[in-house]
Amino acid sequence: MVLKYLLVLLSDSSVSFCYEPTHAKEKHDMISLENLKNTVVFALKNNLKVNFLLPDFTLDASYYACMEEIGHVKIVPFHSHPITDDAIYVIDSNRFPKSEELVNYTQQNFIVKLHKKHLKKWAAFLKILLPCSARINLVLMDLEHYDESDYTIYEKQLEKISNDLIHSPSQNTVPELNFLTDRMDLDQMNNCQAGLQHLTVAPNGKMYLCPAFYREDPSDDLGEIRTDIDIKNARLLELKYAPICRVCDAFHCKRCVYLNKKLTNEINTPSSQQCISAHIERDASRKLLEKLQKIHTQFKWDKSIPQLDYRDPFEIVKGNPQKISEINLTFQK
Amino acid sequence: MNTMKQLIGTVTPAQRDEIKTLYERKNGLTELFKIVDVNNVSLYEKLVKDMGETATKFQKWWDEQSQNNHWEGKKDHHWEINFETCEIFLVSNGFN
Repeated sequence: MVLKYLLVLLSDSSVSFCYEPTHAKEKHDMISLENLKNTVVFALKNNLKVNFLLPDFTLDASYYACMEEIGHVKIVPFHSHPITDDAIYVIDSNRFPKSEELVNYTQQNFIVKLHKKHLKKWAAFLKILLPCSARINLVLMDLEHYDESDYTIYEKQLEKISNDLIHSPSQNTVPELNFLTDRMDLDQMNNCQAGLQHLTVAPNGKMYLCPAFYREDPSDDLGEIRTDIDIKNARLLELKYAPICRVCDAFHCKRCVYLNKKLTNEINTPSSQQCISAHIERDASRKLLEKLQKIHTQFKWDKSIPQLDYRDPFEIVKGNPQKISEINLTFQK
Repeated sequence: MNTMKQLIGTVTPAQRDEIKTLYERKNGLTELFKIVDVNNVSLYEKLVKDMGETATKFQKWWDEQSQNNHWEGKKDHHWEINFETCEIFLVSNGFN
């Protein structure tokens, strides 16, 4: 494990920026200043890049002073923080900003947590957000409840967004969208890497695989802040020990180990929902790339994304039934 | 959440070896800093001097290579090298 990043949850009500549900706001337990100082020193000593997750209330000045001791990025809830250069804004689709609320934002980074009930509005939401964005990361909330009709809606939304991008006046500069343009840039897996490249410090001063593991079960900790963290079955976090993912080329997929654990009970096995949504995005990227290459001959992406005839790797397994006895025979040989 | 990583160039194996040596030295010195006794003035001073020189050479390598190869840079991003493939990546500092 080569740690590169540290995520720091400053409070129990810090913004939730990934698949875990937005936390109830009743609890305002802060990380102690002593634990925050220890975390900052730990990050400085180990040359880690720090991302602080802020709550939607103003902190005591001593906390800001401590955070300034180290170069960092702030991840903040959109509606409760002023515009700053070093912030990534988290937007919840339950409270999507109106265009007038975004007028002063330019070239910002946004994370959008899109709830299933708003899936049909995604292209319309994005139109509002795009003009003030440098990069937008989409998190599909409620993914565990997605069914075929939702996948169809998602495909249509991505098609709409692609058409909007093609007809956008900004020729060769397509904005960065994790669900549509990242795959065009990638030649290898670029997943979340929780537990491999980054760990999380929670308000209780303990370490976790990621914020979702803390929020799901605070007793599922990895112990105190230190480098020689003992993660049980840590190898299962690695791509080479994920038999489905290691042969996949949906390189942009989050490969979320929290969702894996929650939906399949195996940290190294993705759920059907995660595979299908990633493959829908992969296919939308393929189509967009082909269209852009046709329209703009000077386009910066000179690669191609192969077309696939499946969306879920399990479809291949289902199509090639093999008895356990045959598999055992293969191993014996 | 992923941190986005874009391939922006490559270096030669010789250039890779240069930065790899500096990287290993820098890491070794950082580890040494954690255990050295500050009261051992001569050793501590030697360490500070070596660390300063190594860090300067390290930065100089990145400055020169990025200028010569016109590597793209962005706010809140850093460059990374893959020592096995000699590839250079532009990587986001934040989880976005």
